[in-house]
Amino acid sequence: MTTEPAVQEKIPGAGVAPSSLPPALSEKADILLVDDSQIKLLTLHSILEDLNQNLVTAHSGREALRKVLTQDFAVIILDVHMPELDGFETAEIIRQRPRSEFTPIIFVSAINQSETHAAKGYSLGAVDYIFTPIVPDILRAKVGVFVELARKTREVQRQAALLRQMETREHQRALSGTTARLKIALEAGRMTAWEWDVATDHLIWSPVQEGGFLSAQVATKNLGELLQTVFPADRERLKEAVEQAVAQRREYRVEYRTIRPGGRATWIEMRGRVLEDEGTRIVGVCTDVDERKRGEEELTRHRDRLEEIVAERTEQLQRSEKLASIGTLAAGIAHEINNPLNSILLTANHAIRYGKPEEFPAAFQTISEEAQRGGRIVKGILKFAKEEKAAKTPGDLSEVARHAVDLARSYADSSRLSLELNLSNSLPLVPLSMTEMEQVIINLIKNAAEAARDNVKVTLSTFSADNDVCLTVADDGPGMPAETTRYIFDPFFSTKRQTGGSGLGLSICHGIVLDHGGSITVESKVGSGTKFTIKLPQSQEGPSS
Amino acid sequence: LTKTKVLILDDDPVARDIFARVLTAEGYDVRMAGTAKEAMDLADTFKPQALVSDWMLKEELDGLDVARVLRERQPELRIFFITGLPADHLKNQLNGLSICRIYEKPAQFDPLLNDLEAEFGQKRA
Repeated sequence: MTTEPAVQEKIPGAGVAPSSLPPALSEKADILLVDDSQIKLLTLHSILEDLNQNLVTAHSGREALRKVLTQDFAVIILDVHMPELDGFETAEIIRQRPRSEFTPIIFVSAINQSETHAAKGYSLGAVDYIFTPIVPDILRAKVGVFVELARKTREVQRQAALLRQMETREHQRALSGTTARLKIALEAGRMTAWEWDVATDHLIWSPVQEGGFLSAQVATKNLGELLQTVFPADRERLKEAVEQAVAQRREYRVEYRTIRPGGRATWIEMRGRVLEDEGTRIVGVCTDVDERKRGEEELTRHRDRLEEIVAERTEQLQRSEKLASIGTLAAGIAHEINNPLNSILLTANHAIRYGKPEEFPAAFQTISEEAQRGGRIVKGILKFAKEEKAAKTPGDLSEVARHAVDLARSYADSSRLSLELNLSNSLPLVPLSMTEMEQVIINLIKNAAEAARDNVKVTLSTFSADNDVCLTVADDGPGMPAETTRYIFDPFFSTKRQTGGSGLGLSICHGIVLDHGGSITVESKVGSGTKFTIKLPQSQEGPSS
Repeated sequence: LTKTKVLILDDDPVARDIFARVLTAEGYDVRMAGTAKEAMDLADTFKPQALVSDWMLKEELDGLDVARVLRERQPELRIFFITGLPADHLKNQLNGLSICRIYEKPAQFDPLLNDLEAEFGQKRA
């Protein structure tokens, strides 16, 4: 009898070694018949032939053992009484071998049915015992049970193997799917994954597209080689990042340029994380961030360009504002000059048309005065426009204020103006132009006097505060609304509210104080007076020198 | 024959005086004011038919403010402005106030005299 190996090829799942699979269900079971008597062997053979299984015979215990070594049997029918090795001894050896440890054995005994025999047989793990004369049906039934058992066992094993096979395949498929997806993902992300063993300086990379952005880099086997592919200017940065990451056991991110085969520099972002399982390793990815970096560069260029445009526009705007203020200035100048011109023209025309000779000297006098008024206005304008700055020497603001008050008294209508001084005698000296600051103080006093309808009290105070020397000129006059204080230092702002004659008074004051590196501010409220505060820095810094 | 009543408001005494003398010479009944308050006080009793006013004054209220107040009291009031600024500046500030004319400085008499004559039909003396 021979086996039919062709059956095995029907097993699904090529690619897995077929030998690892137990025979399929249709395959016949092997039954070993052991007896030293050829006649008894033939008898057994003829009885079991009907089971249509594969019957193997052995004439001695040794021969049986040889068969068992190479073949798996569904059941062994073993004659107890044999020379040399008897059935029990043979069974014992069979049981000692792992392969046949659980193979069912049916002992055949011609001698007797004594309890001893049976007990010995069972203690050897035999499954059954049969006595001569053999009843064919009983033997067939018993063997049939074992054949069926073997068949079922084989089937279970086969199914289990199939299952394992399928699991393995599924696992491999899943694994290869994951790998493939990872590869696609890395490619799509323009990335490569890498691992660097710190101790061995061994560097491995996930495969990248041939000639791609990282092809030069992934060919490198250690950090030194990798650095060779990096733009010289970026090498130190990359090296430092890696060394720090190792030293501090932390994640890192570094951007550098790598040189592509074509010679073009490509921006790479490297991210890594230190792993300490089998030695120290850094695992991470490199990403092609060239587009992003170039986008950023483009963005920076755009931003710079925008800033340029903004600066340009601002300058244009400032120019146009300056033009506008020149327009305002021109209108203001025109207004101021038109007043005396108006008087001159009217007086002259009146004299021409209506004048009596005795009135002429008075008319000429008016014309002369108005012309002088015009001249003063022009001077004021020129002073305002003057670029040069007065020399400044250390001076006492209190002293300047006293001087200014003396001068102001001669200007102002003393019957309506009372001046009160509250001047500090211990002011630090500050760099100032005596003449200019006097002019400022006189202007402020005149301003107070002219704004007031009736009597007005003006109080001048000096004091030092922080790094500044301060002067306040406060009056108890009618005050001003906020909208007026906001523009009060603008040249020619609302000439109707300016009382300095030319409309330049306060803007000149403002300019002079600024030229001293100081500030002038106004606080006012309708009905409760006005206070100007001038602050001059002790040490002069800022735009002027 | 009743004389046409003209109120002159100007803080420049020279110009104010000359206009007053000219208009008086031309047969108008003239009153002068140097401030907005004076002008408004005077108008109460004088009831001018025409206001000839400088726009900018050296105080909070200007000629335009005075003109508005007087126009409210006397809807028939004819208003003439004199200004040292471009006439357009004032036009932009009128806000619907109807006026006869704006004269730019330096001013002449004749345009004002002609306009007054056109408004009131008064012959020159």
